[in-house]
Amino acid sequence: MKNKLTQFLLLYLLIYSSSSMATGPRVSPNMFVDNANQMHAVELTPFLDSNIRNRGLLTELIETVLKLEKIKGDINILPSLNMVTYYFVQENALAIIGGDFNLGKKAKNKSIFIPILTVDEFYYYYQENAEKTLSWNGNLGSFNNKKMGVQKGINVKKYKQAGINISYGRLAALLKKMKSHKVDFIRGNKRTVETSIEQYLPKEKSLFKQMQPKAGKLVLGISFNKKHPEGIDAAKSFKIGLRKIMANGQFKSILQNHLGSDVKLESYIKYLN
Amino acid sequence: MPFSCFSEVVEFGANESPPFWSENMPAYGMCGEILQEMSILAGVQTNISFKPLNRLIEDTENNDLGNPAFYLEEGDFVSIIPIAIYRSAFHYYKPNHKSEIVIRNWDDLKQYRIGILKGTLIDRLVFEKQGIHFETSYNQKSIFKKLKLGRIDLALEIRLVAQQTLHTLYRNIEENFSGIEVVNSISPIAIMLSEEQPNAKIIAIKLRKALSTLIENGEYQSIIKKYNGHVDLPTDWFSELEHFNNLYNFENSE
Repeated sequence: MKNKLTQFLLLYLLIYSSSSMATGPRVSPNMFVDNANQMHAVELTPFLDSNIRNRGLLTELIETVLKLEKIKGDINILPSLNMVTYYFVQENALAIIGGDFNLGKKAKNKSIFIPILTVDEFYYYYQENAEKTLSWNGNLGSFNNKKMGVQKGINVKKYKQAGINISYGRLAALLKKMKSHKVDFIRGNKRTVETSIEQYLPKEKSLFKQMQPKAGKLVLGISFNKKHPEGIDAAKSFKIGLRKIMANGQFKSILQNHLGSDVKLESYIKYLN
Repeated sequence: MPFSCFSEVVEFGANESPPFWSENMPAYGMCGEILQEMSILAGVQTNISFKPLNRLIEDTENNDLGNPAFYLEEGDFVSIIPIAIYRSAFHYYKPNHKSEIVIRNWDDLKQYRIGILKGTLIDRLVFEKQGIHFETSYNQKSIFKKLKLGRIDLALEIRLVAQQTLHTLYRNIEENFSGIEVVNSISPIAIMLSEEQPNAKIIAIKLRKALSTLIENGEYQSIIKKYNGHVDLPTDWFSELEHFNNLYNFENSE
C-alpha cells in the first residue's frame, strides 16, 4: 500500500512539477506572415475552424479562389468577432471572413461583401423535462422576458426591443449556461450548434431542441476592404474566381468533402445571386 | 493606502513564466508586481494561484493573467486589461552551425527542428501543410538544453524568458546563443476578469485607472526596467500597449 502511494506521489510530481506549468509564445501561423495582406476570420465550426481539415469548409473555398486568382492573402482565424471587426475598421485588414460582422455604416460603405454560402438559422433551447418547453411563433415577442445567449459583437438591438434579456458568451459557454438554466435560448445554424453540442455536451445532445419556424439565414462570405491598397482589385478577382470554381465543380466537390457526398449544393447557395 | 472597496478577494490564475509571472519570485515576478501595485491603488484585494496553462484555459469561469489569445479560445471575459507586452525570437546555439541562420519566410523554417513549449502551438495542421514540424517540451530549461545538445536547431521562446533561462543554465557561454526576432510576435500580457466575477465591471474601471496612475507617476516604468536589465523601455512599448487595449476592449460592444 505504502509502495503504491509512493509510486503515485512520484508520478504526480513528475507530471505536475512546477516546471511542467510553463507557458511560452503562442505559436500561430500569423506570427510568420506579412501583416500587409491579412484576412481575419471569426471562428465558426465547421466553416471556419483551425482544428479541422483545411481549417473548415469556408476557409478551403476561399483559399482555393485565392490560389486560382493569385490573390495574396493569409487567413487568420480569431476567437472573437470584436477582434475581427477591429482589424478591419482600425487596421485596414485586406478582408474579413464570416457572417454577421455588425459593421457600422461608415465601415460598411468601405467594404465589398462577396457572399459564398448561406445557412438557415434556428433558435435552440434546453428541455430537461417534457413539461418545460419554449416555443416561438415567428415573432420575437414570444421570447419576452427570456434570456438569450449571444456572442459579443452581434447586434442585439431588435432582441432588446422585444424585451429579451441578453447574456454574452462564446457558443460553448452558452450551451453550458443553457444546461444550468442561466440562458433560455440561443440562435445558430444547425451545423455549428450540433457540432458544438457533440463536442462539449455529447451526453445531453437529445435535450437541446431546435425550434420551428427557422429564425432566419446567415450569409457567409468575405468582405474586402476598400481602404486597403489591394482591396478593390482583390474583390474583383475573387468574384471571378468564385464563379470559376462554381462552374468547374470544385465548389461542389469541396462542399461534399466537408459535409458529405449527399449534401445538396442548392440549399447552401439558394439565397445567393 | 486606500481601504479595500470589496471585502472579497479577487482570485486570479497565472501560469509559471518567469520573469513575467512566477510563484518563486518576489511579488510573483514583473507582472505580479504591477498587479500588486494596481490592486493597492484601486483598493481591490487580489490573489494569484499558479496552475498549468491547459487547466487555466479549460476553466472558463476563473479570472486569468497572461496572453488573452490563449484564453479567448474557451473563455469569456467582461474586461481584458493589457499591462505589458512581450516579443518572441528564434534562438540558436552558434557553435552548432557553420554560418549565421537567416529566417525570411516559411520556407526557411522547413530545414530546421524547432523547439517550443507544449500547449502553445495553434493551427498545427497549417504548419504541417507547410512542412514545418515542432518538437515540444514541458519547460524552457528542457528546450534550451536540447538546443545546446543539437537535438533541435531553433528554440522559439519569449525573449525575456529566454534571456533568464540562458542566464540560469549557461551563464558563462550566454554569448554563444543568438536570437532572431519574429516580426509578428508582439503579444500582450493582460488581466482578464471573468463573466462570473462579481462586480467585474467596477473592478475593471478601478484597475484601469490604477494602471494609468502607475504609468503617470513612473512607478510602472521602474518595475518594467527592473526586470529588463534597467534599460529603457522600447520606444513602441506604450503604443503597442494601447493597440492591445483597443483590440481587446470588448466592454463597448455590449
